[in-house]
Amino acid sequence: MTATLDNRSVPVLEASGISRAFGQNRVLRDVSFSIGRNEILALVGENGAGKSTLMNIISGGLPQDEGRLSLDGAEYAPASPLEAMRRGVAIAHQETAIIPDLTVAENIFFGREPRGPLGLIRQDALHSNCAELLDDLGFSVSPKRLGSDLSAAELQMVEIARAMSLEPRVLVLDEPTASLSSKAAETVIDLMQRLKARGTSIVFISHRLGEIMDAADRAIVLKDGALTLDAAAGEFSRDDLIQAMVGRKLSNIFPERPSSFEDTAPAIRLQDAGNAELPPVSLSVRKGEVLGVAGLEGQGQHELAAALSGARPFRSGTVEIDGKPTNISSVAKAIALGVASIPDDRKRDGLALTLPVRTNMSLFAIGRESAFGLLPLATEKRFTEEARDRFAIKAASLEQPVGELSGGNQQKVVFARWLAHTPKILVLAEPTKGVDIETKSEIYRLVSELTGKGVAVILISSDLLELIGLSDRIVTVYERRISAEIARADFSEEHIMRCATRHADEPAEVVHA
Amino acid sequence: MLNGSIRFNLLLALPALILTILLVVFTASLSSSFLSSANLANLTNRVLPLGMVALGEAIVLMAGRIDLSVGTIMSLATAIMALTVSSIGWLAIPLAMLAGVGAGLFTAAGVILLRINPLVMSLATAAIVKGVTLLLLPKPGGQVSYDFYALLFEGESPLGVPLLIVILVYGAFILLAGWTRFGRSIYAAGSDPRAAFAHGVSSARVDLQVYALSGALAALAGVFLSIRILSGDPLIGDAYTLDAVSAAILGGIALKGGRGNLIGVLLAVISLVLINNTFNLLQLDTNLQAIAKGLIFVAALVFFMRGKAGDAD
Amino acid sequence: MQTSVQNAVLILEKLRPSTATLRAFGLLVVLLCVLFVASGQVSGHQILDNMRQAAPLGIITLGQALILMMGRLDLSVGATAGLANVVLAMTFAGNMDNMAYALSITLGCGALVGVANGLLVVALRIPAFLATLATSLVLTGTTLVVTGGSPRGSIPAEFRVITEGWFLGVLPYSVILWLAAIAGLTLLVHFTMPGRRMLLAGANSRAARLNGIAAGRMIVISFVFSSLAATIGGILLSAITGMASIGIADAYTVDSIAAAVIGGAVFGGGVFLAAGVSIGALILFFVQSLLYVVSLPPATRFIVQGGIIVLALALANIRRKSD
Repeated sequence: MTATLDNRSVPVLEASGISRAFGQNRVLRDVSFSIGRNEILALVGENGAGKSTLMNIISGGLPQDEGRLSLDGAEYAPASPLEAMRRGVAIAHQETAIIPDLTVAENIFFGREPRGPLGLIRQDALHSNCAELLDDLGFSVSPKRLGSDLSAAELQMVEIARAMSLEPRVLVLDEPTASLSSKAAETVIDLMQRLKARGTSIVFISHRLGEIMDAADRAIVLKDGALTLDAAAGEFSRDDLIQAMVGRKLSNIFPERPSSFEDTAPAIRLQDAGNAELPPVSLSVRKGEVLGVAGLEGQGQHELAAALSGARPFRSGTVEIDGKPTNISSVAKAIALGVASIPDDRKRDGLALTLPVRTNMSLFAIGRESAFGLLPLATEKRFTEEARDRFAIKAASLEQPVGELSGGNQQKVVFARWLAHTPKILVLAEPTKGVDIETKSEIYRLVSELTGKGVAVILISSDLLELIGLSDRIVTVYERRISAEIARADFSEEHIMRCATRHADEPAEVVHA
Repeated sequence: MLNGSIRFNLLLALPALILTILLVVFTASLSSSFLSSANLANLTNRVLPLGMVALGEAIVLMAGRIDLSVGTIMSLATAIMALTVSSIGWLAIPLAMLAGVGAGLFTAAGVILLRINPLVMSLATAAIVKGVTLLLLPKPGGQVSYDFYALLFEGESPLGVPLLIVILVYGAFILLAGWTRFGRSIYAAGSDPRAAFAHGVSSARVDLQVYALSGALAALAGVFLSIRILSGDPLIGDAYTLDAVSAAILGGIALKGGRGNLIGVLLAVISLVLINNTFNLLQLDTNLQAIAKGLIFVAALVFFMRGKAGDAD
Repeated sequence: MQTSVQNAVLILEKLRPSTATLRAFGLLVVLLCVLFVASGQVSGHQILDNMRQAAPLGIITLGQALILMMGRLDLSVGATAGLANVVLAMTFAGNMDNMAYALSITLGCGALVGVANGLLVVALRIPAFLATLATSLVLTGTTLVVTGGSPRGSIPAEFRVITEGWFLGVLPYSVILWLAAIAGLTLLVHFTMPGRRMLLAGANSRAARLNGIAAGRMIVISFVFSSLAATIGGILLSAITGMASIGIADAYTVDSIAAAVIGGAVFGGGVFLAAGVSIGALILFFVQSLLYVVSLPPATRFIVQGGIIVLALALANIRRKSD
């Protein structure tokens, strides 16, 4: 909160004119900024704006094409993360680099283990050193637990502890709070403040505007690889951040939503529907309505999506589609009932990456047209060409392996497959993850177009802006149960986060206090 | 001492321990001659070659790779021994091991430089090594001086040189795997190559190391085998490949890498030798033994992999 | 009318050989030239006669290629072909009257092996290469137990016509069978819905399952196809040799992998080039005959086998990288 002119005059790390491209794709364009001593710098931007690339360049994971870095006034061009660490720059990745089959202590001190005679690792010293470090950081994770045993929040803490164990001068935290509950996020923010007091400079990436306003001494915003804002605390507002991030008012990205669904019939209704992984849930979505599902990672959203898609069917309770009781007993049944699912991990669950765009796209379109089990080649050609044009899929040809397309175009292929026949219900899990902003707004437009035709949409997303912009109603999930239902009028990031980190019966005031 | 992941990995060796105990009790109750020192000595003599080749295979599996060439490397080593012992004496042993390391490095080179699937690459290495072996020694023959046999296998005591070698080699590798940074890097690369890379572990380097070790240990197994049969045999090692993979999996080494302890592998080797011994005591037809081996292998795979794979891949 | 013309055009388009197939064909032509120089004579009849002898490998390779399309490896094809050889000779017992009985028993055994492989992989979730390695051990053992080490029976001379005979004196029957297998599998994989589902299940079984395809069933079926191909290969081999012998077909396992990769098969699944892998089988056969012609010891066969796998895959990977 107290960025004085003094701090600014002696930058610890300075970047000037950094550019980087991957093939034709220019990810960073002439980015310059600096971090002062004892400064917390927030780096903000949409997915795909170039934040991670920038942080990777700083921490030695990637070289820049153009531009210079300096550390304490000296030239700084780390060839590897290891070298960056030696120079005093450490990064804690969002996708944590925790080895699942090693313990917390073995992970944190990997390659720097205390050794005794014959170069043998001293296990006891290793684990007690680690316990001290974790204590000091205020993290309550046992050093003896295996990496595979940790929750998303604990993984993040271990990742931060690993970066901290190097006692860096500059600490880069890539979305440290994204997977944390409000309380755990507070611990991390608190830790950042303490480190700052000790003289560490911190760069942190976050999507949570609230914590940026609270903790950052300075914020920079990236949009499409270029810097659009660089301001000290107090000189920017939340709206400034959003404006700089998306380049236009939010209302322009997200389509208008109808105001009321009182008169429309529910397309799907779950009554105490559940299975072994999912405690009974009750919810209903009306035709043409978008129901947002908000929650931290692993609170049951994906189990819900899997049940709706028929991959792991509901075993108890009732499911009604168009008022008729039914049972989504398999994926094939879901498809027959008109329930379409877009998976969050499209590479793993959605696409055959080595096969052509055509083969990936046409599955459902040709399935119904097939006679005598033969492939309807003409139908396939017509459908795939139409879909390519409709979704503006950029591919060298329809015979190009889908794995060679960009994330956004891959996602369009998945959409195109399901939209061969307009579904009744569309379940979207993280539909814009790893997708460029253009595709993003196309996907939003598409959702709006479908709801206009009466398709009910269930939108599971970790992107609060997306949930707020697109949903007509939001339910929050916490520990695999619905903890709140929020009407459009009450949408706000803070309110959603509060509801997403407490049980339904806990009064909101307690958490607030 | 036993802090950390070692503790979890030791637990994976538990089934092999139980199996070994059961087999010892069963075999001992089956035949009174089982506990005779001659039979026990015979057992340790059999543990020696299988133990070495299984050790190499286990290290490769820990790194998340597989080596299907170990059997043919054993054969190659017996051929080299049979052909060169008479002229260069004990130097034949390092020569054979060098050949094994060469074969391992060849596999590693294919995996790293040519980016060939490790399974297929080791299969190709196996074919090439087999061809070379058959060129060197078209049919069983040659001679390995009796002096080596006398040094290694003479005497009817089970507490002989073979046992000593097994204990020393396994002891060294157990320390290496569990208590050194080198061992950590193998577990790390097998557990999650991406995360390991972020920790500064190069998977190419680990590949090179584990395949070289596996080749060397397979060759060592072949050396011991040739000393025991006093000659070379271009096909004798082939059957050991499956036994080696079998022993590693029975011993609790995860096929996907990153997990398991070499103590379990040693116990599994002992179990396999005991099963073999039981078959012999029961005077089971050798061909039925082959069938039984295949079924045991399937059982081991089913027992250790069920529900873990999560997918049919 | 218009759609049928359109369909015909699309079918022709799909039948156009892939670059990998053309490359393999080019290699074959080069090889034939070398053979011509080495032996001084290459005639159409001679090539067909070689194809006749290469037919067992060719058909086994088609099965292996199908498993490779499914992203897996079948290490039991050699043992399965060997089993077919022994079973066929036993059931035939040298008498043509036993043909229906002998063929149905032999093919039945083959199908059973495929089902076993498929179930080990799908139901028990054992990695395919290990499951088939175990199967091959069990099969070899079974063959030895059943025959007691010395196989009985023989193949009647009348039946040997399928490999010795020529249709109208122009085309060997075994080559016709081979071509039929190429056509049938091409039709299945590239022109039918079940084939399309198999292809998708092979390229990403998890995604296929989540899109309503019974991926497990597709995998089992592919193993049945592969084992049946190995069995037919074994039957043709038996017709060539006329008798049963132990271990006669062992080399087919690695040979079929080598032939498939020459023909453009890739590990990781999703590619099926019936013509390409068949040309691959032919190339391998010619190379092996070349070794024989220049009288290199039989051991070199293994070195060539392994060398070809490394070379073919290395070239494919380098090409993919440079693209």
